[in-house]
Amino acid sequence: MDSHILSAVVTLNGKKYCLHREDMGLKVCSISEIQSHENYQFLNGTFPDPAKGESVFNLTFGPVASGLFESIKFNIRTYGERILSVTPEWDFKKRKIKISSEPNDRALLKIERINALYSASYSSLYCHLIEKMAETDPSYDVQLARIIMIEAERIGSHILVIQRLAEAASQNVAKHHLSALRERLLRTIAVTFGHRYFFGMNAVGGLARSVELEKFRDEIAAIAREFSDIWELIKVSRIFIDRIIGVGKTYREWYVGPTLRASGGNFDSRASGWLPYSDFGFSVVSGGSGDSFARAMVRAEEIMESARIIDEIISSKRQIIKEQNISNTAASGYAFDGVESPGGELIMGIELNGGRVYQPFIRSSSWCNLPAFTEGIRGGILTDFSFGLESHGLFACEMGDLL
Amino acid sequence: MRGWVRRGIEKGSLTTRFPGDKPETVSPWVSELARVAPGNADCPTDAITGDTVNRFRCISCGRCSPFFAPSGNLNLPDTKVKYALFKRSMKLYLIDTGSCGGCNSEVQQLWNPVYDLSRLGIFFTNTPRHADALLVVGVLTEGMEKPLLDAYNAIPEPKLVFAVGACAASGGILGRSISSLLECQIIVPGCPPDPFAIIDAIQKSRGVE
Repeated sequence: MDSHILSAVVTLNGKKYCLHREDMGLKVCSISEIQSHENYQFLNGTFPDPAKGESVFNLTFGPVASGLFESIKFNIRTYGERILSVTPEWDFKKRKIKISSEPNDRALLKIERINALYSASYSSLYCHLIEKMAETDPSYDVQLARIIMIEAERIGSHILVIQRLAEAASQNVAKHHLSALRERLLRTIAVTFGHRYFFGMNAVGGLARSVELEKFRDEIAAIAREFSDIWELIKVSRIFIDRIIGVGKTYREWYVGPTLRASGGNFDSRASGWLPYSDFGFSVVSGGSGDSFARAMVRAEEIMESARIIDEIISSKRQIIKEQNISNTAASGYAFDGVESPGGELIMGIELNGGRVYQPFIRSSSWCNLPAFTEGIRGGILTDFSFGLESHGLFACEMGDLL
Repeated sequence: MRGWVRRGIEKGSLTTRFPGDKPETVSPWVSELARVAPGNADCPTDAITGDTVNRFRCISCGRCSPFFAPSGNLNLPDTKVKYALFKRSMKLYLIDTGSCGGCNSEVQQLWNPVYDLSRLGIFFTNTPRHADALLVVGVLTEGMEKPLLDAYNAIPEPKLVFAVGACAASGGILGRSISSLLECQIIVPGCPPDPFAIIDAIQKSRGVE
């Protein structure tokens, strides 16, 4: 039952609240109630004890090593070939991002720098929360612009994940084609939105800059066609397929994003969220056996779906989306909500008092799916490690503290 | 296999002519900013004094609009030393001390066929023992102090340290810069820096103008 899926545990004024996936409402919970959820230990940052036994030794990978996109360390327990357990240490680059007591417009600059690759998702959700408390409805055009940014970000992020999977499988030709394609996308975003990672684009109440979208639509369509061409070539490569099929197979109903959907789960917060995705016939991509290949397949299909959504939005007479910035700085209240970032559902909560931010809370997709990697890779062999890791698209920068 | 060959021929050469020619595109708000209207610009990192923008403090947020606007020109690095020794070949080691992923992404883009750093005799290495320079991205977090120093000490002399991006250069809006721990010879502005700006800084650090 979805209603029993624990999405997050939020501490507010010293009290612990549960946030369940189905109703997305805060409920006061006892410790025993919280602990009854399988994923609580992971949300709390506790991973199972490392494997022990005769001849078992520790192999460390990271925090700075080739093959890692960011600084993170993994303690791999093995007796030489098989991975018996993996325990992550994400503290190395843990940033303490302080936004408490800051004016809400300044805090936005920090929020969009939690994860640059998901910046549009973070900033859109943050602005939505402030707007909710300020009882300010951004125009329909602004909501559509936010969808466009989040979907373009999804295309870029998914291409990066598949590119890194191809690299891990020594498919360097494919990797370079994908990397060049991602560069084309980043340049397209920069020309349209003024920044390759959408920094400074969102504002409370609207957008900070006007955008012209007609050329953007054509470029996104061309990028999607090119991706499809590349993907057709990758997915018939026996070397690629044989190396990632069956690797990192895992399923838990509390996973999020492509990790969940690649194992048959169909939760996608776009289907029921606050952004008007339903106006554009959004359909959830899901299905697969929960392995690295299935995750790549879901990402490939989501790229096409995101491109279709962007095309449909811009084709509906919205070539130009005008700048609006109606920041209400005097608002107060508490709000929380979620958005489907490229890695999966991102949840954020914020208290606003006199226009300043307090008690911020985030539960990122990387944090939620980190156990999917450590659980799924157990029993695999050492060479599976990078396929398992890359296929989840995890980012250590999302695992810091928001104070 | 044939499909890849076909694609390769169809696409032709994607590689930029930079630094021989101008960059094809520069991410607008990451480029040099110029005053376009009188008035007090609200800068969250206090990077603006009068008509001057401290490019190492600037986080490319665009909050100074409409008084300042992107010029489209590459933001120039601060190059304290130039090692001609690295003119023919230079090996770089990347270390992330607390970034948001943006600078990592831009540095990684330098390997792709569009920028293709290897054509300039610049390579990335997987071990600091083989490196000539350290590329540091992100604010300096407590947990990364030791790994940063370990990597720095493992690089043979002579060596260079690049602070890549506003966080490493000045701490940006999120924390402290790496200069509190290591002396940086080359500082690359931008949040994150445009890949062309990183290439420009690397070239200048080895005396290639």
